[in-house]
Amino acid sequence: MNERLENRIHVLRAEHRMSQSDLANEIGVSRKTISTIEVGRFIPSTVIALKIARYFKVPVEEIFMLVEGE
Amino acid sequence: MGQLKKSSADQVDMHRKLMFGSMLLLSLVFGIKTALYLVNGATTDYLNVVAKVVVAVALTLLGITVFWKLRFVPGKDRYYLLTSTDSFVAQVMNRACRISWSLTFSMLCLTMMFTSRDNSFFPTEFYLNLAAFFMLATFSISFFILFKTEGDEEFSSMDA
Repeated sequence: MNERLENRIHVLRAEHRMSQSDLANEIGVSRKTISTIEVGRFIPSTVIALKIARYFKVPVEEIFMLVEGE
Repeated sequence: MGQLKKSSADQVDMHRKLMFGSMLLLSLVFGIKTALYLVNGATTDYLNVVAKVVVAVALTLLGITVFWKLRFVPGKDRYYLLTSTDSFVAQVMNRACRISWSLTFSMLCLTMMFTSRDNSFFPTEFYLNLAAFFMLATFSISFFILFKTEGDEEFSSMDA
């Protein structure tokens, strides 16, 4: 089974009118970390995922979801 | 918006890049010391001068790396930020380390295949310098390639 992690960080940032740098500053990571999470190249730890969810005030599963791959 | 002022985590990324830049220059020094066994005459003198220049630049960059850490990474968070494995740059460092270890081990195995204790053409120092050069060069080059290619998405629509 091939599953991949997708996320809605880009959508949530757009809704909150935030840049990657703004979000990075808010949760204490680098902009590169945020940009690579958004495109799925860096799988964030539970701590980072929870910090992002806490910042946007949504459950973590509304941001990150496992999707069946090909 | 926020991209003008870099966060502490961004400063740690920069600190890592400076550190690996120093490492790359240090690998050049070992590379030159290795090459000294392969050349002779005027080329040796030339390489000795080049080695001294590279050492000076490497030490300068190392000094800048230390200054960067002390100046831009806040003291209260410094230990956590520099030892945290919870970031893209830490992941890249781990992957570069694995690549470097594998390639260096392969290179040493190949070297052992083609040399033996009795008929080695070069002294032991040559192989030590070669191993140090190869390990540092593959570690730093892998880091820069992975950091560049795997995280090159510039600011998205909200940042533009």
